[in-house]
Amino acid sequence: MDDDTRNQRNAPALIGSAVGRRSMFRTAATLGLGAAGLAGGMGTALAEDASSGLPKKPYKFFFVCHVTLDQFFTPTIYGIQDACAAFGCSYQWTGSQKNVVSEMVSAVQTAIAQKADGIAVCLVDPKAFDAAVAAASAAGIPVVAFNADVPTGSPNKRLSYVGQPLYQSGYNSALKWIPMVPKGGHVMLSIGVPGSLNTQPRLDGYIQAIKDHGEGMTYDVVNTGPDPATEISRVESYYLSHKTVGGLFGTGGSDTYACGFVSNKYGLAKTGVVAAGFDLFPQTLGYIKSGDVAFTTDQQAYLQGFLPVQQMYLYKLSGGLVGPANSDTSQAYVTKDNVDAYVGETRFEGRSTAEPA
Amino acid sequence: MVPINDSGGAKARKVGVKVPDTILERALVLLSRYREVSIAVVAVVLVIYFQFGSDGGFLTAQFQSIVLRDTGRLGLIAVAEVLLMITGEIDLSLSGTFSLAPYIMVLLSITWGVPLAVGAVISVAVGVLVGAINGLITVRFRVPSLITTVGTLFFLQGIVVSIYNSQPIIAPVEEPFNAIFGENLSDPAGSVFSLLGITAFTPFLWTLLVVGAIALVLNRTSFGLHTIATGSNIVGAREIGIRTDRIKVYNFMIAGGCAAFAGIINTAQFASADPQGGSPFLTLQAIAAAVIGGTSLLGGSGTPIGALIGAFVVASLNNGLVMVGAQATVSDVYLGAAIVAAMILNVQVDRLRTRRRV
Repeated sequence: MDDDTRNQRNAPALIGSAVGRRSMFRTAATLGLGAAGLAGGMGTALAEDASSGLPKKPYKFFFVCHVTLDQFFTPTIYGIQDACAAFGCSYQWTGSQKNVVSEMVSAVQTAIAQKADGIAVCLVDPKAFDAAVAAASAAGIPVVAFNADVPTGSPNKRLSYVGQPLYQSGYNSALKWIPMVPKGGHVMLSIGVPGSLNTQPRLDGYIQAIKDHGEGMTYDVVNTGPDPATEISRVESYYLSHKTVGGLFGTGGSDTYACGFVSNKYGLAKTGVVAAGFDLFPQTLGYIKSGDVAFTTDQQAYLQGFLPVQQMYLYKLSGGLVGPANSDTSQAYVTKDNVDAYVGETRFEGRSTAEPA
Repeated sequence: MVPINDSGGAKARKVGVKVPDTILERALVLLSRYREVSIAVVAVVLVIYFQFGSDGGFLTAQFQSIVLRDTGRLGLIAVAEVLLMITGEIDLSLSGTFSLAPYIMVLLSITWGVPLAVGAVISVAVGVLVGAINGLITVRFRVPSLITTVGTLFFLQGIVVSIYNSQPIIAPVEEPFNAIFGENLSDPAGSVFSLLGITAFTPFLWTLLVVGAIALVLNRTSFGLHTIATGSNIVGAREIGIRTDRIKVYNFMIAGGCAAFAGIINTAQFASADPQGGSPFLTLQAIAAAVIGGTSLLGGSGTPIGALIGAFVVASLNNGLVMVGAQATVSDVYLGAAIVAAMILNVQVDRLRTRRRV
C-alpha cells in the first residue's frame, strides 16, 4: 500500500464519523484553517476576523526515537518544544539510546498504557512496530512516523511520515555528485554501521543511482565504524590505499565529516576529488565553506519535531478531521553558496537554545 | 646457566635450567621470559600479511601514522584496563570519560576563555574523580565493578550529551598546546623524517610514555607489587597488610586519568570535541587489546607493553582490512574472526611458553 492509498484508507473513517457539514465548518473555523476556504464558501468572512487563534490544549505526545542521545535530534527536540509551546501541549522524549528496536516497541506500548494523546515514532524496523502501532490506532491514539518510515506497501497503521525519504534522498544526492566525478571514475561510499535503518537506505539509493546513471562508475563500500576517530582513520586508510579515488561520499553525519577531514588534510578538492554526504556537523559546514566538501544534505531535523506535534494536535483537536499528511523534509542542500546561513548560532539547527528574535 | 648434575651415577637426573642450544630453543627461552613476545609474534604475522596484501603499502610512514594514531588512542584505554584487570576489576565507563574530559576542556575554553592547557588539567582531574567514584562505589558498597561502571557509563554519556545540547564542537587551536598534544603538523605528502613530520606520531609517543611509566610502576614499585598481589590473592594480600580497597580505588583513578588524557589528545589532534567521541565500542576494543596482549580477565597478571602491542594488532586490523579491500558488509566478520584468531594464536604461543618453564 503506498502512502496515497494509506491516506485514502483513512478517509472513510473520517467521513464515517458522525460529523455534520455544519459542525465540520465550525471545527474548521475554530482551527483557523479555513479563513480563505470559508470566505470562498460563505462569501463574506474576512481573514482578520475569522479566528481568535487555536486553543491551547494540554495534550501529551510521546516521541519514540531510535537514538535518543544523538545530536542530530537536538533541533528536532527544539521543534517539539516550540510546537508544544504554541499549542499548549507537553511531550516526552523516549525510546532507545542505541537503536534497540525492542526498547522502542516497549516505549510505544508504555505510551499507549499512559493514554498518550499522540505518538510519534521513528519506524526503523519494517515490521516490528506494526502490532504496537495497530494497538495505538485501536485505542484512538494517532501515530505519526518521523525520521524513519516503513517501506512502501507496509500494513503499518501510522497516519503519516514526516522526514526524509531515505532511499530517495540517497538517490537524489548521488544524482547531484555523479556528474562531478569524471566519467568511469571510482568512488568510495561509506556507512558508519552497515544495515543501520537510517543510513543503509541512503547507501542503497547511492548504489542504485550509480547503476542507473554512473556510466561505468565503480565503487567500494567502506564500513567506517561507530565513532568519529575510527571513521576518520578508515576513510584515510582507504584514500591512502586507493589514491585514484574520484569521490568520498558519506551516508551519515560523522562519516561525512570524516570524508571532509581527509579531503581537507590531503587537499583533495584541488585534485578534483569530490566529497559530499549528509547532515550538518559543524565541521562538515566548515569544510563546505573551505571548499573541501562539495555539499551536504539537510533533512531539516527541526521540522521533524515541529510537524508531528502540529499534525497530532490538529488531529486531536479536529476529532480526526484534519488527518496527518506526509511531509518530505529533505529538500535542502547545503553548498558553498548558502552555507553561511547554516553556520550561525541558530535554534533551527540546534546550535543555540535561544528563540529567534 | 650451568646444568647441575648430581653425582648418582649413569642414571642421574638433571635438574635446573637447560642451556639453550639452537636458535629455536633460544627463541622459546625468550618466550618463557617475556609474556609480550607471544602477542608480538601475532603482530608480526599480521604486519607481514597486510604488507603483502597491500602490495607494500602497509609499512609506509604515512599509513603507519594512521595505525599508530589509533594504537595510541586504544593503547591508553587498554593500559588503563590492564591496571584494573590485574586487580580483578574492570571499567566499562572509560569511553564516557574519554568523551566527557575533552568536552569539558573545550567548553571551558569557548565559554570562559580558559586556556586549553588549564582546561586539560581540570579535565584530567575530572577523569580521576570519576575513577575515584567508580572505585569507591565498587569497594565500599561491594558492587561489582562491571555493574558500577555500566551505570557510570550511562551517567557520563547522559551528561556529555546534555551539557551542550548534544552538539559536536569545533575546538579552538592554541599553540603550542595542540602541537604538543596531538596536532599533526606534518605535510601529508612530505617526509616524516623531519621535526614537523614527527608530529604525525605524537599521540603514539604520548601513549608510549604513559605505558612505559605504568610498566615501570607495576614492575618496580611497591604500589605495583601491591596491585598484582591484590588481584592474584586478595585475602593473602590483606593478611600481609596491603590495603586492597585503597589499591583498587587508586587504580580506578589512574584509569580515569588515562581515559581523560586519551580524550584530550584525540581532541587536540582533530580540533573537535564530539559527544559521541568515545563509543562503548572503544572500551570493548581496548579490553580485547588488553586480553590478547596477555592480561588475564581473572586478575593477578597483566602487561602494559602487551596491551600496547594488542592495541597495535586491533588498530592494524581496523585499518588494514580497509586497505586490502574488505567491503563494508563483511569487514566486521573479518575483524571479529581476526581478533579471535589472534587470541587463539596468542594462547597457543603462551602455552608453549609456559611448557618451557622449568
